[in-house]
Amino acid sequence: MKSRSEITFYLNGQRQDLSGPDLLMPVADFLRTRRLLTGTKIVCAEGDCGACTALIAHPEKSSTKTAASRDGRHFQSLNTCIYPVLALDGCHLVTVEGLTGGLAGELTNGPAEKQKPATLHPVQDAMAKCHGSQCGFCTPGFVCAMTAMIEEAQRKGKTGPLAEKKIKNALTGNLCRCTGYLPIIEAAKTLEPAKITSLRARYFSKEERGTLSKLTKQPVRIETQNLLGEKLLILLPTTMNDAVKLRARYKDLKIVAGATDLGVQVNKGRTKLQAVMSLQNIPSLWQIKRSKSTTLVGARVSLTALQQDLEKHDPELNRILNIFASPQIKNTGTLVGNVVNGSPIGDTIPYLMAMDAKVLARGPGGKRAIAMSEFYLGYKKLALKPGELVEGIEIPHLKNSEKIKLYKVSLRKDLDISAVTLAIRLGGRKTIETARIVFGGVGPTVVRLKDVEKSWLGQSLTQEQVETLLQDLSKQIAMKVNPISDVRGSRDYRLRLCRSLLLKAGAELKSELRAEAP
Amino acid sequence: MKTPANVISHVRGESEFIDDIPPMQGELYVGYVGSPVAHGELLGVEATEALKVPGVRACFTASDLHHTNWGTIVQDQPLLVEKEIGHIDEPICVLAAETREALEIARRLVKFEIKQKPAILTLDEAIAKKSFLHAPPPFKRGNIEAGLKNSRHRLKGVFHIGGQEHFYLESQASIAYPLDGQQVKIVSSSQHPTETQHVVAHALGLTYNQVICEVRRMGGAFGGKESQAAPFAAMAALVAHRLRKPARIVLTKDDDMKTTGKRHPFQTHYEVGFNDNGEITALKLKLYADGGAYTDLSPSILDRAMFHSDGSYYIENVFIEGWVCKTHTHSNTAFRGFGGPQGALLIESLIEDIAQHLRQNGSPTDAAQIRLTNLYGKETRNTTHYGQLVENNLLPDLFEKALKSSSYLKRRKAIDQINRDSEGLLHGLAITGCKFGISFTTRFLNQGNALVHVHRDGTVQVSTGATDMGQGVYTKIQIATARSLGIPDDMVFVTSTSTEKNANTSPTAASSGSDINGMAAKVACDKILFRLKQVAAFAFEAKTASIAEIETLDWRNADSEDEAYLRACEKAHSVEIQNGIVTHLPTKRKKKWADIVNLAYLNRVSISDYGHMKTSGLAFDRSEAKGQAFKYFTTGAAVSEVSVDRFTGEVKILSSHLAMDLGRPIHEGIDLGQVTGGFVQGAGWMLSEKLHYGSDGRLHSHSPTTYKIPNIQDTPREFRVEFLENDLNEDTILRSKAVGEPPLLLSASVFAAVKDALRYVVSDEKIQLRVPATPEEVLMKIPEYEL
Repeated sequence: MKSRSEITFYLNGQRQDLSGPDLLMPVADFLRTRRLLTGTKIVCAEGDCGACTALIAHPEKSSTKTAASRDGRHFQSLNTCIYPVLALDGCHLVTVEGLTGGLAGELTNGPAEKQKPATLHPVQDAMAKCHGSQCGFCTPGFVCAMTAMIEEAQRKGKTGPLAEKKIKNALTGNLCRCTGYLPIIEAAKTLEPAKITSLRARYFSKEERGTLSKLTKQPVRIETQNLLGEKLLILLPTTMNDAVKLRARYKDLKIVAGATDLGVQVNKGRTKLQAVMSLQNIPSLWQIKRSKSTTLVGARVSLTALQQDLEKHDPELNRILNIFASPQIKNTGTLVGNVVNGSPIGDTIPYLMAMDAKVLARGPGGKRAIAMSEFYLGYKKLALKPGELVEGIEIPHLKNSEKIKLYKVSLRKDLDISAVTLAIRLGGRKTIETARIVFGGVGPTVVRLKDVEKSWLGQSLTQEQVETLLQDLSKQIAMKVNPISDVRGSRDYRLRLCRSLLLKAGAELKSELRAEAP
Repeated sequence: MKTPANVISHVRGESEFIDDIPPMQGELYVGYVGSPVAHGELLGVEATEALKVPGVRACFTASDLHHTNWGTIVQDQPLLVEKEIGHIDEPICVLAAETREALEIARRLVKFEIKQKPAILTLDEAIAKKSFLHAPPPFKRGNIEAGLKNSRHRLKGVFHIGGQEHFYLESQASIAYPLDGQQVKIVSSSQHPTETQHVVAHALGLTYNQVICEVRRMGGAFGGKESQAAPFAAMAALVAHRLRKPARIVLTKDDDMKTTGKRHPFQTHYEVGFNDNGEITALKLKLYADGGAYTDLSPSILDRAMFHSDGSYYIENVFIEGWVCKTHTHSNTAFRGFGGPQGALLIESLIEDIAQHLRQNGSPTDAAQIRLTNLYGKETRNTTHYGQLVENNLLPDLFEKALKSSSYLKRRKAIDQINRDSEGLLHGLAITGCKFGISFTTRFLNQGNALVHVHRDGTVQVSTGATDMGQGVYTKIQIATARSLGIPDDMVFVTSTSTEKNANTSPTAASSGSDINGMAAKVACDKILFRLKQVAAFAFEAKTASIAEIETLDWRNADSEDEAYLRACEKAHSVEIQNGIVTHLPTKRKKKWADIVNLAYLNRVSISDYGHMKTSGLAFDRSEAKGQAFKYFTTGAAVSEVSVDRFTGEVKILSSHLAMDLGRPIHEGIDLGQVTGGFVQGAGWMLSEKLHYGSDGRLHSHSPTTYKIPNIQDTPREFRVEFLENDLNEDTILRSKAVGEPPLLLSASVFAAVKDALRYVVSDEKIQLRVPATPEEVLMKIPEYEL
């Protein structure tokens, strides 16, 4: 198929066709310096403060009707400071300026008296009336995140004001240093989704979506150069076959799907972008496939989509994902991204290991599945062969006879990288038939205590025995894990947490087993 | 007025901050390269490779500056290192480039030759080595030794308080424009345009009248842009001045956090004496503040800590010494509260220890009762340790209000029960107070000026030295101006703050912004009003439509016996202006404000004026540490309940009930926002905002990934604020009280509540909890379950 030499997206209702080195810029920089849309602010440049929040919608990518793809017109919040422009291909982006006017919030032609510049989006009006804005720097980001909250509520059919808990969850990704948040919460409480016109009524018409859908079926290949005259390469393949071929052909290709990590590395000067391949236009990677015994999560399935799917099936993981990252990150960040990033404190990894999940890799040699517990060879070293890409994760379902407990401790409860994580899975009828104990944050990789698991097999599965096993492990844990001291906690503290979490798990499992006892 | 005008442009994303200003053709981007070591001697700068990057225009070092040293109190801090390196990431050279991309590439290519020297990185080392920048005379009252000796109980120890990053969202930023001749115009995100003007002039060898500094607004500041905005403005000015091009510097959040100063960490050595009922009889303190590498504002900050070491409590015998320590870290600076919170926090923490001590020694008393016992009284026990009377003291009323609205006793009972039964969560409860002195302790800063222009259509422009950092001072000045003139609020527009309009201004700091500048605006308005009323009286009294030339006299400050002046007064008093309507009192006839204004103009009567104010009644002798240091106190009380996870040390604020006396708030919505914002900012300092440094002095927590300010989930789950409205403050603008800093002090209730929770499981004599009480800090205090 003929490839495209530019990307195409919509910005506040206007079509943008783009090529050249700007494609590797963060979207926030592009908006501010190339379009002079300075309402979008940059503070941390790492997706942790939300000042750069805008709204993004994707056209439907997958033929399978999953949460990930059900409504392509749905606008979600996005951290534009870490999202590369190339990843906007096929999307519609709305910035704070677009909430009220044209591309830059400007007024249209017409008689002067009809031009009322004071028109505000209901979210903006509420924020102003409730004094939700003091210095104003975080405000556009809050306005966009709150608008995304309303868009989601509307999609879910909510009509009345939102509960305080929902409001806080929706705004977890936005920092404000002035208000203490109370006036912002008060503003959000006054909003009624039924009385607000959805952005979908104004943006991303059927024609626009059709245009983009058609375009994104064509691969993108752009060669250009940067300020220093270095060659740049941007690739957006549309099939896994092509992706694998390209990966084999170009050695230093950076791969992105949701693109929430690479932008941070670039902004903080840890890496340089020269050749990038985005997997976002490969429809199969947007799928969640649920069979009787497993769930398969594609490489471009966002954590938000996954969470919506899991709400009913796995409340324990859902609880952890609630305090994992911000809505902005979860809306594009992927489970596969968390896995291949390979951080010893990756929040989903202990869970996946405890569940015996498999990494589905595809490379020049074909497809293969790698057990999660075999996937990490060292600090950020993965068991992938040259040329291999990860196309998904397969997660076995928790059996009725099994229990899983997940813990995460961090300096701040929400949106913080953890000091220690723990996942425990126990299963069996009268005796323990399955045992998984996985710690994160206690060494260069996530650690599974295989010898302990083995020693637990066959032990009786009673309240007392389970508590005793965990208490015994708590006493010996210093010999099993070897944490370091760093910005997130000292070695002593981490060891203490390991002991504490095991005791906590022991107490909780005990009371659950007690509740189930006949 | 409900919604402040600037907020409308905030929510639309239209408010222009420094980096939102569209770049001019040819504008250059400026950045600095900082020191890789904490202490050493700079031997050379090698920028050859950096200068080869396409688009890089220049590299400047200290030798390019006319005068490299700056400092508000002592000029001891280099803008660019000349020889001696004072801290890691300290700016050494400045690069200018045509694009941001080129600048970032070039910054990594500069190399330094440095002879490294041993560095002092902690307060412990600085105290041991007597590395001090400043040691003021002590504060004393009564006889400390006798007081301690005669007390039933004594406690002795050391209290550690960590620093705090401002985390204003808009990092330091300035643009410098070269003007005709040698002039330079700076637009800056600065709390102190006048100092920025002066520092730039010094750096470039210009006179003050050659430099203009303008500030439209800041994306937060909190004290971090009081002194420390100036050096970055000087870097941009250096490039603009030398290369004759506009030059822009905008720090990344990481660079800003690494290089700029923070709230001072404190170490306080204390000895306290008290009786069986918890009455504190003697307090002996040695305060050590970590000033960092240079003096900056540290002496004044230490002073304010010494002023506030009494908290809200009367203490008979007091002896307080203090030192500013020099360490090889970023130079610490002003931060909301300015040392006051560090002073007051100690006594609140100590009261929890006193309660614990009495409990252990058989006289259990609730810490709240101990606080009430020691609280400043209305008629007696109402003089501070520096001899100032606490006038119109509403502290007892505020404590009562907070205890009542939080149902303190009911909560206490419930918590006793919870902590007996629960294996997982502990609850804690505490009330703390706030008594914050309002005035700069540097006397000459307590003055302000304002320029008011009435235009011929009756609308008004006012400018002052106050800068807008989100605290709503423009709105308060707008309201003060409108009320002073008797016209609707929306007829007044506050224009940006500029040294061209208002010179020799004080920083917008010490919570004084609206007190000083609002009053200065009122002075200017009163002058205009005096003339306009005379004009109006003439107009009302005129027999025919055509009137002769109207002569008016200017308002005079002193009583005058001059007959013409008395006549003018009489005329002025015959007219009243309210809500834009001018009324002739004898005849009840009315005219429009705009018509009188225009009439005045046509009669060649000035409809603009300038006002100057100084705070009256201040008389403090620093060498004796006695006298009237403050115009008044802003007071409050707060009750907080927290939960502590025994397994993980995690703390949650379950509820906070705040009560404050803000006089008659000029704008209740703004004041409420100041209270909730200040409290939560303080709560972050108490719980999660930990600055983590490496053994080489490098700051590791330099972005929100690792430095955790409160997010929306961290606000108290139940959060109530009440104002005790009163009319007692006669001498302030619209009888209001300053609000910026005081509520931050109330966050001590959160820390005290954590200590209260811990005492249910810790049997130690006292609970040695440090600030911040992170999960790690808390968990390590909790005894592990015995298995």
